[in-house]
Amino acid sequence: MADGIRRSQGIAVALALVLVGLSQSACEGKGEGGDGLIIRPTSTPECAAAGGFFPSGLTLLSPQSGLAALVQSDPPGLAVYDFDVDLDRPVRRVFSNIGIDSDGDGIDDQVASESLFPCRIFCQTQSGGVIPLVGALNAIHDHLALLSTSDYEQVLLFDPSTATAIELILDVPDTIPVGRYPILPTPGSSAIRRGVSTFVCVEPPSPFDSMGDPVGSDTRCNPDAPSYLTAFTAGATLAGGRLFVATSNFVVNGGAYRPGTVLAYDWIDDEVGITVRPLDHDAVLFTTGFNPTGLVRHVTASGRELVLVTVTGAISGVSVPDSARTEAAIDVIDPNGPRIIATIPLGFAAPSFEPVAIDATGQIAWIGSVTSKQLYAIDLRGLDDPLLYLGNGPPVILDGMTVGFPDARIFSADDPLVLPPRLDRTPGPSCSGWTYVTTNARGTEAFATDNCDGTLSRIRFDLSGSSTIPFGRERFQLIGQTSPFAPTPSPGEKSAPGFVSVRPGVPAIDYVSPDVFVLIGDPGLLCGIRIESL
Amino acid sequence: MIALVATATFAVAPARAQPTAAPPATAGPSAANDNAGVEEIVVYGVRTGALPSIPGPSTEILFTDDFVAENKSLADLLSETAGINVRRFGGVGNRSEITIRGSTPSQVVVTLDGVRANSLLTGGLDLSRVCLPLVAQVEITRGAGTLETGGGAIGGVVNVVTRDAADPGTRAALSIGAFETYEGSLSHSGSTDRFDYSLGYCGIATEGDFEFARPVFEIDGVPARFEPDHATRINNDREQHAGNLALGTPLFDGRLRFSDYGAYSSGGEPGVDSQNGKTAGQSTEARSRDLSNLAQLRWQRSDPAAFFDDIDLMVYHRYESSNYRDPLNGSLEPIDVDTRLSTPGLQIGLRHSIEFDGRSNRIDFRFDAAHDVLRASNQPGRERPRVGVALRDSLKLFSERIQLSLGARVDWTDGFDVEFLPTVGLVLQPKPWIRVRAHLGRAYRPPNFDELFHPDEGFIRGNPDLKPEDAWNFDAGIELAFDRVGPFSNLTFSAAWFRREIDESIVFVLINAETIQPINTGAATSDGYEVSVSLDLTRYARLLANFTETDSRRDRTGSRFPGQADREAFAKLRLGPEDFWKIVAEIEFVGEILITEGDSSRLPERTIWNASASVDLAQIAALGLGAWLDECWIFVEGNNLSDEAVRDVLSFPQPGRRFSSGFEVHW
Repeated sequence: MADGIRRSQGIAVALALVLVGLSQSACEGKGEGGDGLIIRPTSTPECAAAGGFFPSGLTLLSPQSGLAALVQSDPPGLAVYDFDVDLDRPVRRVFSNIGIDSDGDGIDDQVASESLFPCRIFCQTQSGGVIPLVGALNAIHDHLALLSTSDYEQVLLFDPSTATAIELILDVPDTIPVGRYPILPTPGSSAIRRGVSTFVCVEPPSPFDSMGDPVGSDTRCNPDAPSYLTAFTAGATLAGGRLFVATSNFVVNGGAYRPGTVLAYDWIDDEVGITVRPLDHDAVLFTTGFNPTGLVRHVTASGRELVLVTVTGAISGVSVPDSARTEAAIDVIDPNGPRIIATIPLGFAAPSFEPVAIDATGQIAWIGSVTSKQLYAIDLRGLDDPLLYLGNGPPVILDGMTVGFPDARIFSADDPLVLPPRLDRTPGPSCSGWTYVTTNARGTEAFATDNCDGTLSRIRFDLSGSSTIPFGRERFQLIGQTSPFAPTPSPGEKSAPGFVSVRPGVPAIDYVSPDVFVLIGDPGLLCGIRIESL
Repeated sequence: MIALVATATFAVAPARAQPTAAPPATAGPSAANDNAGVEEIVVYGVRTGALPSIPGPSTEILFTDDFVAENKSLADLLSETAGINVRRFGGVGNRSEITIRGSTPSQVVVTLDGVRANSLLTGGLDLSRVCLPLVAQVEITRGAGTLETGGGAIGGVVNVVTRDAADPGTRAALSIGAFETYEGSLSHSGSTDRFDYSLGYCGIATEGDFEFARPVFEIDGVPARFEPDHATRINNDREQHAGNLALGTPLFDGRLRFSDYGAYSSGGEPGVDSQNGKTAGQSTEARSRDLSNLAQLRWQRSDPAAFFDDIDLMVYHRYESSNYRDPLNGSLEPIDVDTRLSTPGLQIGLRHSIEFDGRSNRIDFRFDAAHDVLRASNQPGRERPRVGVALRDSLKLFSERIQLSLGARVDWTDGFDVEFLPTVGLVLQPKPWIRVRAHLGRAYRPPNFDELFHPDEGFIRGNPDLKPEDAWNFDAGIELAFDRVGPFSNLTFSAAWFRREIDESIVFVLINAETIQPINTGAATSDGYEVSVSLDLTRYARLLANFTETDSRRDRTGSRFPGQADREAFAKLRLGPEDFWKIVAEIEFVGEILITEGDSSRLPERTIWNASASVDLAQIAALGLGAWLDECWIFVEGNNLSDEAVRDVLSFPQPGRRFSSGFEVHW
């Protein structure tokens, strides 16, 4: 009897196992059970989580909007934060992923293609990349911002108040040679896009890269002459009815820089919408040095619109001392040509990659350093000189050596504004400094972070009553340094402060939240600091 | 879990008044209250049991035969054990690492038949390369083991013992599972007049591609999703073969044994899930191939009459070679790196025992020397000799009610100072059913080759100035065994508290905006506790459960260590007569896992259900298999039945629900 039961049990179990075994192949899960893999990055009372490490861009919108837009890396996209909340930190309101769309037609490249890896051939021969890497963000106004992405080489358009993508019409004149803009619509046609591809075939006037090696020919451009596709889209701005985009043309494999370029497009914003059209003349400006990165629009006292280009020169290592390999400069573009009309040399400065920070009065501009805890500044007043705009010659060098033109340099590599070292804790020996700088709303103070030691420095300056170019160095005075962040490396602590920005308006009157905002790299945070600079 | 502990506590309490056996009894109406409506009260008694002997104050042994027909991997076995965390980087064939009590993977020494198997390059061991059907038992030593293994055993030691002729017969197994996974093994052990032998093969082939849900990052209630929000793990195929051979023969009053364990693995390396797009930023072309082999020649003699009652002499040679190539390395140059690592070494173990008046004193001497050699196509060759001498005195008093061991090891690794590593262990066992254990010891870990000499690739480089990690481990625990507690039988309970103070811990960190480098990060402390219980609920129902809580923090900042859960719990219910059929249900809880230091983000906690059912067809007389086979199990196993999105490491998805089925045969 017992044996019979035992046998029946066994056979029943065996049959059940076989049945389950036969059916199991259809039961592979996709990890869709439960609540999903929801990760909630931690905010602190002073800092809002930013999503991933090293957020690459921040722009504060108008005082009326009370908003800021931030570029995050993980997932890559644009997030909008609200300042006017009952917290010391801003609060995230919306997020938009930038997708993966090299031609901006609104369809994921890898979905649009029959092949899983449509970029393999093109991107491999270009740089090997298959993803857009987010970069700088430049808000033109509260409802238009330009987001630069490298690798896919694009400028994307967003409404920074809502993080929604903006469509534009890409119109390519039939005068443009076929193949010069490989991702744009074919010459003589137009199309609606969500971004402007910045791949352009160029032939440099100087056929040598930053290592002194010859620039080879690119079969996709001109197999018979030094040529290459522009790459490493680094910054964009609008000026004089034109879109300008800096492409640094860094070559990852080998670490050389090909001659730097600024691309120019017509920008028409009318009742039809935004139309972008490559110029059929002077569409590519070669900068005076290697690695153009940050671009900013500047309006002179007389109302002349210009573009200031941060040309860092070749740099062999960030935060590493003595990494400047070639000289840096601030190039000045007259959008009407367009033409580079002047350049302000900074020497072996290795300036940081951002656009220069122009003070509220428009008289000076600041830039940090990617290798040292120091700052550089230039005097912008000389840019109103009409002689700069005459003719079609090479850029005027504003170093005091060009007859009839002033030296626009206040602080340069030979004579920088050195910020004092942090006293309580020091960064590691491999982190020599990387400064970011901005100015307050009244044009009286500059704020500088140092990525390596975690400090925030304040420099007061007085630009009143001087007609001499440049301003005297005695007008600039370090008035304080705080240590809101930890030096690098400090595992587990907030460190690597980068981009710094001051909220427009008058603190404590126009708003009650902190007035200085800093992007932290490790972990990714947007932190508010109360300086209440007046 | 809490309920179980409470049950045990409650049941023990009456035992003070009635310490010996008392079968369940029904009490009639009491004299004090003879009302007709009195409720019937069932009174249960407590009968104490006997704890199994242990090899050391902090050591536990898992026998793989206890898991027959459950289709487990070594990682599965270890992850079910209190105090151990297994970090998986994917599914079958993908990397998995072990940590113990809050350690890092490189702070756990994994030995294969007593020889260190950790990677000389990265420090840890990929558990997926060890094939469980070839393994007889796994010895786990928590927070100790430095005397035997030297540097590296900060978290503990896991010794994997391969099958030998001690269990003669032939075993075969085959299973088919999700994602086109096939696993098979065949091994045979036996002996002749002069030789004993064992040989085995084990292989895995998997397509490995599975769909997974991608993480959603939620800040202030605003979700940020990748596009698309689901993706397929691609380039995840793997083929793996492993084999062992052991041959033994008597020699000079002892036994000479040659053994060899080799493993080959080849497959795709999908890398991280990190970007937008259908491929999710994974490596579509990266491949790896590795070969490892451990050969050892060992002579052992046991002779209680001799001065050295145990002698163990061993020479070994360990070899690893690997190739990693990625022709499409993002924006960087293609990778094609060949690495070869080898370690010839020798070990000498001597034991002298004295017994008198119910006391025994055992003195163990150990000497080991090894020479690590690295050859790689992307960096200069490196060599590093290391030598260690250890002495331990184990004293057993009062008929082994008290066991005290004192020991010390002097260890030297080329490039670093000589280290003195003392240890003391105490085991008190006043009764067979209760044991109290405590251990205190110092451990250290010299930096591995990667930490010291990783080639400068711009974004990552080694640090030749690193100092060794230095740690003190302390733990104390209690074990109880009862044959019967109330309605339950065969109950064992153990609890342990542990603390580790580590100095100069080595962590890869950002040293500037673009470079990661390992540095010594100062002092840190890990402490926590483990609780385990197992009992028979009924004749055919056995429950096993454990819980571990670990808190690891930097002393200066108080920030928690990332990479492993602060709380883990595991429970398993086995139903059925285990020699005939069994149904196993498992539940695994893993608390939040800190992704990075500084508490900036965490992987959510999760609860996973697994189940298996199996039957031994050899037990069914009608089938007639029993005439030829000792055992013939067929099984079906399901993992992650509720189809949770599981990750131990943010960028490495693990598969969702999956099944496998197969058979295991022994004759």
